[in-house]
Amino acid sequence: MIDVSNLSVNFGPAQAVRDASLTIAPGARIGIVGESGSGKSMLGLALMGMSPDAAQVTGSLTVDGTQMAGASERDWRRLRARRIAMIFQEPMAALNPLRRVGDTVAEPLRVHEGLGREAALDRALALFKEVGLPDPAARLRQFPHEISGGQRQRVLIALALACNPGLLIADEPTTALDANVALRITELLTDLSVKRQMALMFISHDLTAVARATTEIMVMYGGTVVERGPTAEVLNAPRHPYTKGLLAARPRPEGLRQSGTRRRLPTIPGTVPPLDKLPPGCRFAGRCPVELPQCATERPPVVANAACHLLAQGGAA
Amino acid sequence: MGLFLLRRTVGFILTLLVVSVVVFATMNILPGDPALTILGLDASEDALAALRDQLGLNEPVISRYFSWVWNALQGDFGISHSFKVPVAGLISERLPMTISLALAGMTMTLLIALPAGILAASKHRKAADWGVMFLSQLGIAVPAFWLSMLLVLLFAVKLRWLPPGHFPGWDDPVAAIRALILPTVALGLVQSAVLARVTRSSALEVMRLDFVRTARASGLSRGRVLWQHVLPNALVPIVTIVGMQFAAVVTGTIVIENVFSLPGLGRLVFQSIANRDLPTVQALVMMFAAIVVTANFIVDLLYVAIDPRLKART
Repeated sequence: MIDVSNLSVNFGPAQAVRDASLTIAPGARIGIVGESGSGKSMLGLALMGMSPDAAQVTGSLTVDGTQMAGASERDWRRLRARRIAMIFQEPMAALNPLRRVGDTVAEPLRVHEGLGREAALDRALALFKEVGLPDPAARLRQFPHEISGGQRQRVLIALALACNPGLLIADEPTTALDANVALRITELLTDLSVKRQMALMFISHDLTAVARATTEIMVMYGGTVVERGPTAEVLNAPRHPYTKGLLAARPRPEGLRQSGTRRRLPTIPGTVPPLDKLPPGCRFAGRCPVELPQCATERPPVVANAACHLLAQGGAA
Repeated sequence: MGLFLLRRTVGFILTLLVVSVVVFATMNILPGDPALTILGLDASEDALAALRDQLGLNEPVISRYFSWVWNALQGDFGISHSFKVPVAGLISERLPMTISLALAGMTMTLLIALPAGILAASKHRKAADWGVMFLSQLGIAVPAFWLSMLLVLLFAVKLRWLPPGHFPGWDDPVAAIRALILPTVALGLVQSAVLARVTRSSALEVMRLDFVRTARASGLSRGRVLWQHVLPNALVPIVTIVGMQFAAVVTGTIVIENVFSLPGLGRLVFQSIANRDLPTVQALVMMFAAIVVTANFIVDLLYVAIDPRLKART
């Protein structure tokens, strides 16, 4: 359904995304993980044609076989909601506070499908039921400030589903929510993707959520894809040094209580440098525990789905 | 909601009471003897005393205040010293003129400022934005009376498209509207410059919010996002300014009606001040204050109509 190759998003000399490539088949569930600033949200926005005004987007991006690189706002608008929909991190701020949530969900139906107010609200009611909002008929008439965070995220999911998109991009959909609510939203997104045969791109730094929701995974660091593969494989047997560090830094219940002594969580040394200070070679150079001399200057080759000089030489990170 | 309405209504009435005290006190500590003004400098001491008695000027201030308020509540503002007719009649004859001029000026302000402000915000840091900012800066810098004289010189004297002043009355609606065009522009242009800037900055603020991104992600057109999502959320500061501007426009009619010699309250203010016509001035100042306070009362109600979150809090 979507083919991306060598997509870059630049802000002048700073590269937020460098040469990202991916294919999204109908019904696929892909996770994109990485720290903040890894370029995962920028990648998601680029697939909506919603990169910031200051960004230059290069590379190839086809949707249903149509080349969308350099497409006009008008062309993108035809795809949004109807082919590709997106939900965002902050469910409170993502809803117009002055509108009843039913009207918010009905709006794209009225605009894109020419439905009247009543018909659109009927569809909104059906969507509210589908996303599991309690007492959906009463919800239609409520304002965002009158419902909880998890319910707001369900409203936003209903809004995204309104025009039956082929792909739903969920950018950190669970980050602002309580753990148990987050879990249920993750399950809801997975179920919807399976039932509707709708592709799901699940962008998150929450590895547990991504593990539950997706079958494929892409790990991003500093705007580049460092490793990809089936979700279970990458999470159980990470190969790239960054993925290993990321997984090791995940808190695990057995690690927290070890005969009374607290085990310190391993961390990746240093912080992600600003976009314009990233090394020209491997983006992870400088923080990598197994760095080779050429890492900082030469781009790593991709071998067996991981971009790493050491792995390319047959070493194990 | 009911409580909110009650509180605002009580506040509204209290404000008007305070205004009436201030207006009355100001008028009564002004130097100058109304009786002397009416009868002239040559009047005899007996005649002056008799007139003062007739005007009630010898009563204590407190009782004069209460009788003024009591009569005013029944629509009696006394007799004009200079016109020798009831003040209430003078005002009610002229009120429609001033109100229609003020409403026309305000309507024009909104029709210019909202699209211009939204346009500037949507083209942030582009040519259209700079254009709106430049023109509005110009509009703010130009005084209304000077602008109206220029308008008269251009459109009435040179091009002869519109009458330079005087109001033919509503019997001939076309002529009446033509006579109101220039005063309306003179009144509204400066205000629209101010409001365009307020609209722009308020819209820019809203455009940064997440729900605007959600609206775009729903495939809505730019115009729809701006007018249906951004503008309603930008309205609270805009309505605040519009309330204040309505007050400015109403008082602005004093100057504009004089420049264009229109028979409204503004012109009456001028004439009655020049004639030391105390009852008329007093009633007029009270009238203007009431219009301003009413405008602010309406603004308070609009806040709640715009934002459902305020309803929950009040």
